Amino acid sequence: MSALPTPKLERWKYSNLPAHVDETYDVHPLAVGYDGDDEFIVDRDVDLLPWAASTYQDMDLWMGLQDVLSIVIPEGKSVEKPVNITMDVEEGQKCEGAIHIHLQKNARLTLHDTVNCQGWMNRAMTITLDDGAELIHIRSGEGQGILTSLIQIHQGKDAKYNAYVMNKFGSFVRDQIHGALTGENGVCSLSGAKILSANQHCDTCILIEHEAPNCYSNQNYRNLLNDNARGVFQGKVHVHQIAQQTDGYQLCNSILLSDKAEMDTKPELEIYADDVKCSHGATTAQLDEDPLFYLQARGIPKEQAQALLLEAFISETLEAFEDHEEIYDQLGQTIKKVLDVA
Amino acid sequence: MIEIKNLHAEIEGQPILKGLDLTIGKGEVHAIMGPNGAGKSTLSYILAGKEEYEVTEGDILFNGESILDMEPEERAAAGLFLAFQYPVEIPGVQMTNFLKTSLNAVRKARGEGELETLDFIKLLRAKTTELGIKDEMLKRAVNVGFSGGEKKRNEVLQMAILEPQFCVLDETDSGLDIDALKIVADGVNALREAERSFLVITHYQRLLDYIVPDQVHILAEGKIIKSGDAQLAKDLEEQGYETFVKEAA
Repeated sequence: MSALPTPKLERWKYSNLPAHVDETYDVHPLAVGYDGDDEFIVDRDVDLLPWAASTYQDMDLWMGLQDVLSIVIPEGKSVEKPVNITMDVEEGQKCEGAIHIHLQKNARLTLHDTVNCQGWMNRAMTITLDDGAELIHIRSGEGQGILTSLIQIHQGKDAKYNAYVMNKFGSFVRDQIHGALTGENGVCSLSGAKILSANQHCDTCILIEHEAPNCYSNQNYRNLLNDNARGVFQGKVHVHQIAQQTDGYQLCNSILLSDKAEMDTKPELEIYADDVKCSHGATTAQLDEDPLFYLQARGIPKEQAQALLLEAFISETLEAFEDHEEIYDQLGQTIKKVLDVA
Repeated sequence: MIEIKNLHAEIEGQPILKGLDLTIGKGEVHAIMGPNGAGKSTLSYILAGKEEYEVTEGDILFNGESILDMEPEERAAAGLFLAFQYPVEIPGVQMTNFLKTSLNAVRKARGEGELETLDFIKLLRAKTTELGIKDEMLKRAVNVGFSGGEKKRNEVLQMAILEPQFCVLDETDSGLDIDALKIVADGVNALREAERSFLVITHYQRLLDYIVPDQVHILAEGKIIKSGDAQLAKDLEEQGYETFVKEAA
């Protein structure tokens, strides 16, 4: 096995993986539960990892992992019923594997991707969206273990990737996402929330490559950190010279509920095209006193007022799903549940 | 209804109120006028229970009981209402949900049953119609993107829904044009009744043409320096604060 990434690597400087995985694991291939149509499963998709991962030397962790599931949605197929994939890793186990999702031209799919992580799950996922394909990807998980996850998305012309991740689980999570917009009018939207407490550590590391004109990418994250929790958000938008009329946005706002909680944010823009609209923003603060007082002055008890404000804050991550009522409502319920205000 | 006795208060060690006395009886409307920095907003925040302000001396009695140790939500439940000078924007909290949560929290604290959604909507409809508030405003987040007039109208709507016994209006006229001012004043006047008292805090006499007070007080340097009837506000408008402040000193 190749050496683990250490904080000496720029993109791992906030996350000390070796310090978290010092025990001996019982290593298994990652078993994936799947409730979709059997005909979508293929032995091996032909066009894996269509763009080189070798740009960064910090990705050895995920290179050469055994394929554990390959799904291909055929051209023009719109899968009505959401498909669930589920993965469990028990305590003391290390499970590894690569999952491949390929939506051919104009295919559509909603994928619910759920992990239960007690040991260490190390997984890579490639997502290939051919021209006009559309994937909604909803991730969540539970467990006290470790997750190191890489998602690589390769999008063609008019392809849409709309992703959401609820990070409330795990003692140590590294969530690395690389998206490449390679055809015109592609849309890559990444939203999510971290709700962390105790000693949880969650590091989101995003790179979006705009390699074609007229594409839109958005990163919209909200974080709520309590106790000694630590959150990391490293988001980079790289606009290549050819990618004129790019819209690239990043927003990562965090609320710290304890003096010991820590949030590190590093938004980055690297732009070589001259006609683009890009922005990034990050705030880290405590819960604002003024809205709290306003709600209390209207008779709402402090705890309830706080819950209402935190729910509103986290719900800002749902913007990208306003046109998908069912998913919007489901995620709204998820947020209520994780905040315990249901 | 409300008795403020020798009230001294400070914020971050800075004394603002220096022995304020004020008594407002049931059904009365009192106005407090004063120059900038006199302590007008401080008084309203202290009445509502904002944490940053520290009362160092004196007491505030509401229906004979001190409210100083009460949380803001307890004061609201007891029947005290502050219409904010700057209503706070709360992104992500939708108006209807906010109003229902607020009313039900107050009803619960008062030992009344919580209202079901349908009953609440009926009540809300009745109040919004009276105040000329459009349904569209209720679908938005609390005060987010509201015009100055809409924000103040929203304060009066909350007042109408919660039916408090004692209402403090903190510079409700600021930022309003004449039309908006009339609508807000009509809303307040509609709530005037024998069991409900008001304290209207304002900079200008204009608002008092529409909400006519029983008594007017001049607040300067943390104290009431002069009290009188509605005519006092008119004299003040003509002569300016300076005259009265000098006279008191």
